[in-house]
Amino acid sequence: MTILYHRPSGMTHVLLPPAPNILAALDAGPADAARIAERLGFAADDEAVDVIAARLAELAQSGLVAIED
Amino acid sequence: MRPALLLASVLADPQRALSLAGEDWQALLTVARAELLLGSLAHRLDGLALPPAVVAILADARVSATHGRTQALWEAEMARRALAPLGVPVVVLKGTAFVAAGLSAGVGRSIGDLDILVPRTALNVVEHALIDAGWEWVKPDPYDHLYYRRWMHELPPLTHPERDRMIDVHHTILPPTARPTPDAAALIADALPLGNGLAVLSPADMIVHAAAHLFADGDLAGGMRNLWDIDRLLREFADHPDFAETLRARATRHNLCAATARAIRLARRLYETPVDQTWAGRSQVTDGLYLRRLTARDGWGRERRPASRFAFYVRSHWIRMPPLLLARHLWTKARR
Amino acid sequence: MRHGFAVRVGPVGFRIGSEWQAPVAALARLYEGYPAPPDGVADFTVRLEAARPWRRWARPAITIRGDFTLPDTAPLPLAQGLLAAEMGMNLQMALGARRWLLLHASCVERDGRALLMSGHSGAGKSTLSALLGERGWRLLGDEFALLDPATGLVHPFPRPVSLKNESIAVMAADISHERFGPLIAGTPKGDIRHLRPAADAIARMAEPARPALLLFPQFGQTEDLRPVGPVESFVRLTQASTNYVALGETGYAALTALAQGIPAIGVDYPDTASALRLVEALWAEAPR
Repeated sequence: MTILYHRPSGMTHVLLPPAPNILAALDAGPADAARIAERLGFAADDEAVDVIAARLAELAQSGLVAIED
Repeated sequence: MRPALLLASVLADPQRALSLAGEDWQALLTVARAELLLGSLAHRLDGLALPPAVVAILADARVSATHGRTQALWEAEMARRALAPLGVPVVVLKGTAFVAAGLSAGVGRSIGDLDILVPRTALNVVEHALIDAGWEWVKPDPYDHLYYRRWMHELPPLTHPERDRMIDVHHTILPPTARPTPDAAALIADALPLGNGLAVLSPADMIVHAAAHLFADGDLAGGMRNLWDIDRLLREFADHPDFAETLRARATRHNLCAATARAIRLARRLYETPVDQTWAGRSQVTDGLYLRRLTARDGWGRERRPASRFAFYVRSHWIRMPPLLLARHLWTKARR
Repeated sequence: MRHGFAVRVGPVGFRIGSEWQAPVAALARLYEGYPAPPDGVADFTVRLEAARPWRRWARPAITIRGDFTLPDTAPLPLAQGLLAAEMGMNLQMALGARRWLLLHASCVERDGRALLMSGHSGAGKSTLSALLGERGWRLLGDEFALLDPATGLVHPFPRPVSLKNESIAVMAADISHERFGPLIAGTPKGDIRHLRPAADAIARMAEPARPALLLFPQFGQTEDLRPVGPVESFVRLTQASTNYVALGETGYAALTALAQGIPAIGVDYPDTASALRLVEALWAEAPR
């Protein structure tokens, strides 16, 4: 478990893997689920991409990740 | 001195705080807290040599204000993300607008709900986009919904359960049934973009809105803070050439000349706001009544003069709704 | 207001205004020996008001108001005026405090080191701290622990302990009746009686202590101990704090430092005797 304090919102989040890994992968710049999977070493792994896409949607809902228009 | 007047005078000139005794401080801080002005006061008095107990209380107020600012800006950001795909103009109002635009009216200010203004024609899509993004109705009661949608200038309030914050979506700044009818299209057309997809009202419209809010949207509760906003805004924009003229033109355009002029006169009486006498007009006898109502709070933080409070309550409903409508509204409320 | 009382508890000044004389008189007796707020300025104001003007005399009912007020709080009968004042003071702290991270925990000190006990009401933390306060420990507080984010120290907040039901008789057995408030019967939580902490707890109320051990006691179980990891500890303490969110990053830093810095143990206990024994044993083993 990872505890994260989010400065823009002042909210504290308790995250389970792979959410912290996804956030770390996004340090390298905006990316979609497939690109994040690649950065995490799961290139061409459809299952991993699906999991990452689902977590990404949750992270967007909580505001930790913003979806670009 | 009446504690609320003491508060106004110290806000206007912080040096006056240096001569206060313990008893004065207690009343001043209590009234400031009750009027939601403690954070503003704390910033005004920052750095002065004051009693340690007072310094500690003011430091706490700054912590609260900082937290409120973070929350308000974040809520605006979340609304922005939800509404960005729609491509409709979104104007943030009141406290959130002051902090988002970096205005001195926002420094230390307590901020409640998020208020946004959108074109009336966009209300439906805005409502759906917010609900898709996790906002929910506060009052699912159909009568309340009907009341809001037909007679008010906003959607029924929505709340975000995870963040526990409310959003009020307005399509104008006064209810459509109110006699003054502001030019909502002009408010939106002349709003100033913040660069992130959100906008704030133009300086003159901000002041007109604050004045409209003070007299038409409630019973003058929170009026001291409202007038403090107006004082700060007027001082901040006073340097712009012809600002007084612009303000007069905007107030006229929105049918809010009398309200704006009175708000300015009251701000001058409370906070010594430097204003152009020719525009605000001479003091009226009724200004004194408003002033007494605005400052009716004792050193324990209690509101006094319940009779005058009631009179204002009735009055504010009369302004908002034509008489028949009022009767129907009170009748429906009474039966529930 | 007609009647008023001001007091300092630890680093916090309160003033209580009342429309009746009785609650203020009871406060003055209960808080005998406490100092006044510094600089004559209280941090928080509590008001005990009549729900309606005529309710000052007819079936008098107290509405609790103040700097911070909860809507829809049920009025209390005048006989429970002392309780109303205490609830009002708790409410101000819970909603208004910003100088410290406020943890809903009881706290005692020995040799400059503090033992924190956090748990739901009914877990027994209040009674335990009161008992320890009579057995060689200094009571810092039975309700709130005030964690200073700048220093990591816990400030004393030695309010009178709010004893409930059976624990009243337990404590009354070996403590002078001088230190007890009146018995308040028939509250929503049953019988309540306040106990003024021992004299040294009041005399040393300006003296903070460094946290050394965190316990999560739970009453009514068979005896059991369970280590609690820093993440769980952190999450439970955020839930036990009334102002964690309001303090922002300061609160986060203070709480992670506490959760990572001291051992935390869940303690299930069947009776107070076993609880006291377990506490002393765990304390003896706590790293110095």
